[in-house]
Amino acid sequence: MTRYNAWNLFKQGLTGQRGWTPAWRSPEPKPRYDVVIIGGGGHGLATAYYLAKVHGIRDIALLEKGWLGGGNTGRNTTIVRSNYYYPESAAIYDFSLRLYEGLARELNYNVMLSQRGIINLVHTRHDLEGARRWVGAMNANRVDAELMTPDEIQRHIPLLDVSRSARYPVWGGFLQRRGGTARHDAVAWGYARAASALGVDIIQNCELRGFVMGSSGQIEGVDTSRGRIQAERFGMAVAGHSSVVADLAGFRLPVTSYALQAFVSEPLKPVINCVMISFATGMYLSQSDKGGLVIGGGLDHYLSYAQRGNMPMIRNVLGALADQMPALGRVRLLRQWAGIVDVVHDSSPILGATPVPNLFINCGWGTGGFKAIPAGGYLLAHHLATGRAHEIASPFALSRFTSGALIDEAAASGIPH
Amino acid sequence: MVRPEPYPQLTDPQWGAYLFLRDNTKGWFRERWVHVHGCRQWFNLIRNTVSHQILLSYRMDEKPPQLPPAELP
Repeated sequence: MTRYNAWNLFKQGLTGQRGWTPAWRSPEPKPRYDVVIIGGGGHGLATAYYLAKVHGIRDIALLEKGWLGGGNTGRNTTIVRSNYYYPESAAIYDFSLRLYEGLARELNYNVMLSQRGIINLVHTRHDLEGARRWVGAMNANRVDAELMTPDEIQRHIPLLDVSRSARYPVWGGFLQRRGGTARHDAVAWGYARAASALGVDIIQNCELRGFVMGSSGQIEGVDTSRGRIQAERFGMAVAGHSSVVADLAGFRLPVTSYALQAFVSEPLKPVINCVMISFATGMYLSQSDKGGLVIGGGLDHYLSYAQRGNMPMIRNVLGALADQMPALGRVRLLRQWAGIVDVVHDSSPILGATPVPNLFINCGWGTGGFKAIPAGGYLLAHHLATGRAHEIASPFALSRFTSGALIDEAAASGIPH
Repeated sequence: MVRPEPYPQLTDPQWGAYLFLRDNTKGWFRERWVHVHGCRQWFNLIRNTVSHQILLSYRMDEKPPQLPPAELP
């Protein structure tokens, strides 16, 4: 792997930039590996990388049905944050944000992390009380958060209508300064390049068709569109298709798949220098480096595996944008798309053991998987390598749906996934 | 869905499965809808969760029709 640095850029410049090698290898699959990871999105790639880097397990195949980062990793709104309520959530999401803070250096790949701050807008007296409680919880969990007055918000976001007569009056809000955005493709490509350099075989266009089950209930191999591959241990990180893969392995998950839409506008001059989310409307936006407004909102309200959204939610989200930032009412959209997200009852992820003894899972991130990529990969790798859950991951075991120890972020912090 | 009985004799896995496990089918799927912004009637649909195609609707008191076979990929 050629390192990306100023010297190599200069050296390649002398020969017309023709000496660069591909960022990752694309080998033919071998018949047998130590570990097979199903899913070549951010979480699967990060799992492969940390298995190789932290645990020294390098005989790994990573199987991807389409192309790397072509699912939700390429379909999200690139926001990173750790503004959750419960200590368990704070531990896992802040761990992820801390890994993001060192990721570009770790991977030798610019993931364009921009900690521009994320502001949650509050629109009623009651939400303001909830926000005080939430900020208190975050601070108690040693995560940065600060309350903001409407005046401070107006100075931060001049486009926002905070007037008394606003359709959604602003009572205040709170800011996590360490929140922001990162380049989603770069996160996938950076992990892929670093994992490949450590010996991981990345196999694209390789669709899982079924599992080969052993006599004692364990998995012996996978049947794929590129042949049978055997392994000792298996990891799966397939987001919206978790139920489908679990079904192939013979167990069920408390997951429902929904379409989550996002939108990008035509490029504009800089108009907003932070990430903003409104509790009243669920609409959120930030501005990309190219100038496009990246806009998101709530889920489409019915089960879906179609990677496209419907008109009522488009109207909700863009209507909210036009109401809350009237100056943007006539901005034109460039693109609209949807990803299939895996929603769990308590809006918290499912990590670790499954009913199949040598299959380990990473799913249930719902609408918030991108921000969790480094932690999700690190923790699944830990479980695959050691056979035990990392202490940060153990509260998020699948068994909580039997024990009843849910971590209900939907109720606590109103996180909509 | 049928609530498992008798409750005092259920194990935690049985009760957890009843509370939290739902079919999350990729393909043809039976589901219950309500026409909130209109006649407010409940009705059943057979809908494809990949194409969003609606095959047919049937009344709440009708026996659910057979699902069509899954399409070949």
